Amino acid sequence: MESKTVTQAELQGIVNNLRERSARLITIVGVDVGENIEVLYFFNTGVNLTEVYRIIVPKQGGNEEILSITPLIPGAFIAENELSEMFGIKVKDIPGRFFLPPNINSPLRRPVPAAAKEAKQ
Amino acid sequence: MRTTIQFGPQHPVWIEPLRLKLIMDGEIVKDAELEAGYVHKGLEKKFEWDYNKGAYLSERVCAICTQHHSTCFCLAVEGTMNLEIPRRAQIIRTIMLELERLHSHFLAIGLTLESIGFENLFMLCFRNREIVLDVFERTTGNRILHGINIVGGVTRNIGPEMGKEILDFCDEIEKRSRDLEKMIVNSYTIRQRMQGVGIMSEKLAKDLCVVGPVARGSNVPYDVRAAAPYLMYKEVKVTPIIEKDGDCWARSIVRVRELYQSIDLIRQLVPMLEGTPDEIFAKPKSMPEGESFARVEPPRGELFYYVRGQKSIKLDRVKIRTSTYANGPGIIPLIKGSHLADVGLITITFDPCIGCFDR
Repeated sequence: MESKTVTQAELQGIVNNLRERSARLITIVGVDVGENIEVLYFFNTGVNLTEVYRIIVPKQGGNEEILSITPLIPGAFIAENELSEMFGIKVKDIPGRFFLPPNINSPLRRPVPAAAKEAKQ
Repeated sequence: MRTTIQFGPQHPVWIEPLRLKLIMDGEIVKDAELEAGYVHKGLEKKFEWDYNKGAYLSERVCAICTQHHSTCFCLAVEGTMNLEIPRRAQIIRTIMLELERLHSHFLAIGLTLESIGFENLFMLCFRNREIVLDVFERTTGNRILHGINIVGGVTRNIGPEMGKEILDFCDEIEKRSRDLEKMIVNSYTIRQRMQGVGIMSEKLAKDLCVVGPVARGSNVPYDVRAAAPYLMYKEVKVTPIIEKDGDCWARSIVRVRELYQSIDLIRQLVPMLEGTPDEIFAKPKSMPEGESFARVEPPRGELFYYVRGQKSIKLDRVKIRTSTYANGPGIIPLIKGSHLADVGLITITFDPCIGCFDR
């Protein structure tokens, strides 16, 4: 699977551009890879064409925040809320709760591996 | 006078729990909130186990699109292994997918008609659906949870006798569908009740990235079978069926027209089995590694699976984006400004599957 790693600021420009090209958002996927949480944005851009953009969010003890793309693509609302409640990442101007009750927090978030913690210290 | 009405979570129009909080001004819905999560099962976390058991688990996400879920999961896992399944397995999977579309559309049409008071037509739709389930039982041994997909192919073959039975079934179901269509399309009452109700404009459909008959009913020709052909859809071409009006009638008519499309596809697919080697399974030579995703077109619209392998039997991450997940945001703008009596009808024409939505 091909994907392009971009920064959050770059992503906003890319989404704007994709919107002008009538691309469709398929979904947003969060993946906890240990030290970081990766957020993947899948777009359908034409027949047999998809574009995948990845932003890497370093873990900061639950204080991570990313920019929302819902103002550009309203269809991202549920996916961004789910990303927030499943991984504990704040998505700017998004409530961050949709499926889960308030007593369940970040069920898909994993602890930072011990080796990475030591390296940081 | 403003009143708040709790529409659900248990409401006769839906089989599953979903809550709409409606702020009413007399009979008109002024504002609405959607609350989901009543049947959240945490399935994505459960998928972090043996990939061989994943197809079994994926069928349990939704009891209507079981074959689509397991096919999409298997395609995504096969993508992480660069595994190509035998042609016969591809044909069998595709036939099953189209049979599933038939029974799901009969269900959706029936429930729509029931929501506006036509219980007799609901019964008729279910009688038709029943014979599709009989074909499933004869071919897979199961009516709903077929259990024939595994990573690498399928577990059940379709022989020439069964192929003939399926073709005979196509004749029978086409006749029944024509009868049903006549009753619906020629009914002044049904038409008047559904036309002009719950209109989704083409722009709104594109902005919200809705999928399936909801999108196609609003003139958005988005069908994964055409947009990103998979399995045998690379050979049997599918032209998306669209309607322009975007109302409850348009969404339902898309489903009615898709019945014939599916019958036509099955008629093209069954003869392809003849002369195709009997191999239905390709043994994986490696463990799932890296990332892959797959998309299929279930009866309700695009289904997406993302799989991340870690070169072990256990998967690292599976993400499921179902059809109702994509269509969910479209419910609120449509019911705002509608009559209370139309809320059930509008939502049911989305053919919502809450089990899929919550996962």
